Amino acid sequence: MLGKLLKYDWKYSWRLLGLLNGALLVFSLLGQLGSPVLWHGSRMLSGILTVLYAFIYVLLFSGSLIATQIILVVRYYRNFYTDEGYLLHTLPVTTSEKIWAKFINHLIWTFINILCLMFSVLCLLGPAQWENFFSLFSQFFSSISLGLNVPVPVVVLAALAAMLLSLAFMIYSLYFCVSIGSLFPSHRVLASIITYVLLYCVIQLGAFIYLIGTVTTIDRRMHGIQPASVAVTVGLVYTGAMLLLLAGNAAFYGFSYFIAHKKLNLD
Amino acid sequence: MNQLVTCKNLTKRYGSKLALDNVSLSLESGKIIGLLGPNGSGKTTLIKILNQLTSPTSGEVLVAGNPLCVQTKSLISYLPDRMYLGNWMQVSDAINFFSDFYTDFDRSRAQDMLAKLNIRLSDTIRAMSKGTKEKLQLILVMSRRAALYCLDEPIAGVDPAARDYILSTILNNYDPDASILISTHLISDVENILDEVIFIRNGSVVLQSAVDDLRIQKGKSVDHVFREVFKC
Repeated sequence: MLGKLLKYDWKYSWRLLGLLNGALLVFSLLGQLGSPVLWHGSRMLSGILTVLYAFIYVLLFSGSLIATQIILVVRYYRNFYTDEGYLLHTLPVTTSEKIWAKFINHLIWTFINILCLMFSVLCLLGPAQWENFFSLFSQFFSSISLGLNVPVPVVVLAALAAMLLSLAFMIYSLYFCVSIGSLFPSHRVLASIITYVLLYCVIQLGAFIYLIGTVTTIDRRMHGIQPASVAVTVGLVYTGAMLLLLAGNAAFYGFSYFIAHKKLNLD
Repeated sequence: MNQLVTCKNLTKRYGSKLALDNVSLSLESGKIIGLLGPNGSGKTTLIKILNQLTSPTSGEVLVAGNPLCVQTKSLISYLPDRMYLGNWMQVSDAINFFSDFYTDFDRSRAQDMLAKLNIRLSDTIRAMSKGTKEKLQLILVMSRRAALYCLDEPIAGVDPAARDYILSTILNNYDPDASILISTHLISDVENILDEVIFIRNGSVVLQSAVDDLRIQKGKSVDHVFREVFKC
C-alpha cells in the first residue's frame, strides 16, 4: 500500500513541482544559450537583459527552493487534517504507511530540487567553469580526508549520511509543527507557523550550544596533541550530531504518528 | 442475520462535552438502518468512530467480530458529509484511486453510473458543480462491494430531484447481504427505504427498532414518532 500512496503523492507533486523545477532548468539553459547576448551584447541591450534575466532567475531559484517545501508541507496538512483527511484516514492503510509515503515523496522532491538548483548554477557558470566547480568539491573532501586521516570515500559517505539525516530532520520537524497545529480548534495554519518559529529558535539555540561546546573541545584537544586525536574528536562530534539528528527524527516522527493515530482532530 | 457491528458502552468526550454517552447497539447484516437524530445528537461522532476518524474515550467497537483496525476499514464504505476528493484530480484519477486501494471496487459499475450522468473521465473535480461532486462521491462509495456503507447526511442540502437520484443510487447499488447505515434528520425522505431505525439524542440511543414494528406499535409513521420523541 505504501507504493500506491506514494504513486498518488508523486502524481500530485509532479504537476506543480515538475513545472517549477523544469521552468528553472529551462530558464538556466536559456541563460547559457543566450550568454552571447546577455554578457557580450551591446552595452545598453546587454545591461537591460542581464538585469531582467537576473531578476527572474533569482525569483525562480529562490521560488523553487521555498515553493518545493511549502507545496509538500501543505499537501501533508491538507491530506491529514482537512476534509481530504476523510478519504486518507479511511483507506485500509496504516498510519506509518501514510506518513512514510509523504516523507519519501518529500525527500525525493527535495533531492530533485537540490539537483536542479545545482544544474542551474552550472548552466550559468558555463562548461568552461565546470572543472573548477567540481575541483572545489574534490579539494574540500580531500582536505578533510587529509586532516582527519580517513579515506575520501568515508568522508563522502559521512557527508551524504549527514545530508540525508538533516533533510529528514527538516521534513519531520515540518510535519511535527503541522501536527501540533492540528490540535487547535481553529487557526490551525497560524498555530503551525508559530510552532515552527518557536521550534526553529529552540533548534538554533541547541545547535549553537552544541557547536560552542564542540569547538571548545576541539580547540583544547588540538594544543599539542597528535592529529589522530583530532580525528577522534571530530569523529565523536560527528557521531554525537548524527545521534542527535536521529533522536530528533524519531521524536518528530513519533509525535506526528501519535497525533494522526490517536488524536486525529478533523472538523 | 449476522452481527455486523457491535458497540459496547461507547463513550466519546470532546473536552468537557459528551458527544456519545455509554452507547451500546448492534447492527445486523442485510439491513438499511436509519441513524436518526437532531443536529448535534452524536450521529456523526458514531459514524466517525466506526470509520476510525476519531477514537472513543472508552468502550469497544467490533466490526465483523474484529476490533477496529486497518482490515475493518476495507469492510466499510464511507460517504462523509463533505467533499473529500482532491480538487486537482480528474474523474479517472478518482476511479483509479478507489480501484487501487479497495479490492471490492467495481470499476465498470462506477463508469456506467458516471456515463448516465454525462460525467466524463477527463473532467477535473475543480471544475465541477457542488452537486456533481456529491454525485461523483456517492457513485464511488456505492461502487464498492462493502459489508457496511456508512452514509453521513447523504441527502442534506440537495434539491428533490438530486435527492431521488441519491436514494435510487443507494438502493440499486448495494449488495443485499450488506448493511447501510444512513445518518439523517430528514426522516420523511428515507422512511420508506429503512428496515430499522436508531434514534439518538444527546449522545444516547433512545430507541432502536424495526421500522415495521415501530409503525404497528405506535400506529404512526417513523417521521411522526421522531417528531414526538424529539419535540422541543
